[in-house]
Amino acid sequence: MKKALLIDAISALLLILFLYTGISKLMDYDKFHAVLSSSRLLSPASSILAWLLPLAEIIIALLLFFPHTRSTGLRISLFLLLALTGYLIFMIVYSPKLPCSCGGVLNKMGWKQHILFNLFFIALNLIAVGGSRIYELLNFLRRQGMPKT
Amino acid sequence: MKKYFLSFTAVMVTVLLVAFIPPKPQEDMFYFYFDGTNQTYTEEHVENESNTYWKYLGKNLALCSGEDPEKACRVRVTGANVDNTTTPTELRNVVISAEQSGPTAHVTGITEIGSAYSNEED
Repeated sequence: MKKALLIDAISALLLILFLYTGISKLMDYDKFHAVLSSSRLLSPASSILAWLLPLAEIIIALLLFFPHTRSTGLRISLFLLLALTGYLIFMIVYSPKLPCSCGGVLNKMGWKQHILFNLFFIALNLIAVGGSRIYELLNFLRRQGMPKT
Repeated sequence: MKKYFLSFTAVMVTVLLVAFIPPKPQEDMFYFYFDGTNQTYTEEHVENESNTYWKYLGKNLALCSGEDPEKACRVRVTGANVDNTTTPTELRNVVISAEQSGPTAHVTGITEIGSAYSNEED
C-alpha cells in the first residue's frame, strides 16, 4: 500500500512538471519557437518540435493522470526526460551561450542547474518505474493465488 | 475516486502555477539587415555584430524568407540587445553564428531569448 502511494505521489509530481512545462511552452509559442530555431541541432525541425514537444508533455501528463495508464506514462516520461537531458548536455558542450528553451520558471535556470533538476526527476521516475513493476508483479502473484514474497 | 485524489491535486497545483505565469509584455522587436552592398558575405563578417556589417532597419518588421536560403539577411532582437532603444544603431551582446556555403555565408544561430534570424537566396 505504501509502495503504491509512493508511485502515485511521484506520478503526481511528474504530472505537475509535464503539464506545467507543456502549457507554458504553448502559452509562449513564439518565444519557444524562436529559441528552438536558434539552436543549430534543432533548427531544421523547429516548427514541428515547437508543437510536438509541448503536446507530448501534455499527453504524458494525461497518461499519468489515469491509474490504468500510469505505468505507460511513467515509462514514456522517463524516455522524454532522458532525451531532454541528453539535449541539455549537447547544448552545454556545443552551444553554452544559447538560452534554454524550457517552459515557465524553468527558463530562469542555467544549463547546469537544469541538468541537476532533470537528474532529480529521472531518479524519481526510475523509482516509480521500478516500483510499479514490482507492484504489478505482486498483483499478478496475488491473482494467481501465490503467497507474497 | 480515492485513486484520483493525487491526480486531481496535481492538476489543481498546475492550474495555480500556470495562473501565476506573468503575462507576455508587448515589446518592440528591432530588425537589422546584413549590409551586402558594402560588405562581402564571409563567415567572419556575418558573425560580427558591428554596424559596419549589420545595419538597423526598423521596429516590428518581418524576417526574410527564401526557399533555398544561402546568405545572411535579417536578424530580429529585443530591446535588450540594441545599443539604444530610442535610436538604435547597433546590435549589443548578441552572438551570431554563421556558416560559409560557397561564396556566401548564412546565419545558423543567434543567442538571446526572443531573437531570431533569417537568410535569403543567393
